[in-house]
Amino acid sequence: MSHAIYTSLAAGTRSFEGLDVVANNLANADTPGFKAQVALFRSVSPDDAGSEDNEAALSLAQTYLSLDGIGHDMSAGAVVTTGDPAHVALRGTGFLAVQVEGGETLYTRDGTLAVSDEGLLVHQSGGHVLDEGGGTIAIGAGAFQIAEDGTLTQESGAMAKLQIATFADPQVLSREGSNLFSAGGAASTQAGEETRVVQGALEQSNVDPMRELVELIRLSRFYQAYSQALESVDETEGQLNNRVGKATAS
Amino acid sequence: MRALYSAASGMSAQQVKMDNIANNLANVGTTGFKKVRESFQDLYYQQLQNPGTETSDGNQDTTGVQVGHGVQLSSLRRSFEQGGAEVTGNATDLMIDGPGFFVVQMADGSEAYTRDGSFRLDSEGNLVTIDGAMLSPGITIPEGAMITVGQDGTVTAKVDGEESETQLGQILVANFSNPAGMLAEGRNLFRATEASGDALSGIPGDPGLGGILQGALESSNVDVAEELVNLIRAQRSYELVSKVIEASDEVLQTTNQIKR
Repeated sequence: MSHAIYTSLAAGTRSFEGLDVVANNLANADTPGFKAQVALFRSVSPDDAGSEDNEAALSLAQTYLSLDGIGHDMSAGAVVTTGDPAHVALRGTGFLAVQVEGGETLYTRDGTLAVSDEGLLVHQSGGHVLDEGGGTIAIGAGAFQIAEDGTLTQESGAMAKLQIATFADPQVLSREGSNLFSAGGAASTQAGEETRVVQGALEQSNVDPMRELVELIRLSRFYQAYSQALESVDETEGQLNNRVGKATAS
Repeated sequence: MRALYSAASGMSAQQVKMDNIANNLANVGTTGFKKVRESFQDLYYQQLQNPGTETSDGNQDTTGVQVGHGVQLSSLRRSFEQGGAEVTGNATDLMIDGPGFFVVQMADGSEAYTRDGSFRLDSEGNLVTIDGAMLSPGITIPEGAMITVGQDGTVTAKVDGEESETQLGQILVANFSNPAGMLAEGRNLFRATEASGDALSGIPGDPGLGGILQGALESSNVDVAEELVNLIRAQRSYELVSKVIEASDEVLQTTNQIKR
């Protein structure tokens, strides 16, 4: 068997995975604070790996397409005003900190917040929004304002300041669903001037439909090409079997 | 093939969004109507490769591979933003300027809450909603009396043959720590639930409660332009994700044709 058939197979499987990513991005084109996923493909040549003791294999043109990782496109989404005082949009690179059931702290760019029946500020996933010190935020009756730096004030005065976490490398975050990211132990620092809070607005999904559609077309055409390559490899080997078989018989 | 199901989840989410927009638009002329906003969340992710694992060439994988499964509707949340005032001049048309709800008593004795202040008089002179539910606490108006409702909810009237105004009663307004958690019952009525918390009623104009305006009604807070923009977005998003279904279908078809 030649390597060609496996090369085609690997490329085909990767197209499938790429398609899954496009589907998830487009399904979330309307999810507040959603960050598009970017599939990073790369060609891998197994011969490169331990090249010193593998000189003989170098002559083989043998490369595979591999899915190297799925990164987050952390660019900002459009900010749309909603007028709901419990909605916040973050301008800059910070994340809101949300404590979910079980006590774990997760992070989000989705500012669809609300005041729960217990008077606590909650995220739409049901988790509690945390203040600078890591405590929950209680909101009394009446209107409240959120300043640009995240300070919450009511008639009684300043109550708390939102925790706005920034990460040295946001690519280390992993997705937990419900618009939440997990830091997996990576350290965060409270954002300074660079992240501003906008009350009464939401950050929209940053999925670019145009890019996703182009990706969709590219992947399905790639897949067609690979499957045709697979067919021609199959045909070539079929002919080979045929002719060799005849030659031996005669 | 996750793509098919992720795309399908996107289509059904946009479908709900369109249903909701339709209901908002249908109620653009409903007194005291509060628009509903849908919000979406991404679904769970499948971890194909953990960040930090070693790649084939000995480096550390910095991002990992997580593939998502689409979108889900997380909530349909009512926006209690103030609607505009429509001056009617009718003495029994009331409007709450600020947060809070009128409290009405249903036929079965339970309490319901409404922002629709288009009250009328029943045969016994009680102030009732258009559907006949009595204001709670009840207010009875003597025949032929012209009532005045103060900003603080006191109802007074000058009864024939008397010099001074008589106080007939006090309208209370109620609010909740989480009004969005109330259950909409139709007919412009809301019910308290566990999520909304208990009703906290008080004198109109107290901190956290709006004052009463007489002779005006609160119009629906639906913004037609906003709804239309949302409708266009929902329709286009629906189209987009349906393209993924098409593409996935084509890919599967190609797969089936590999070996004829």
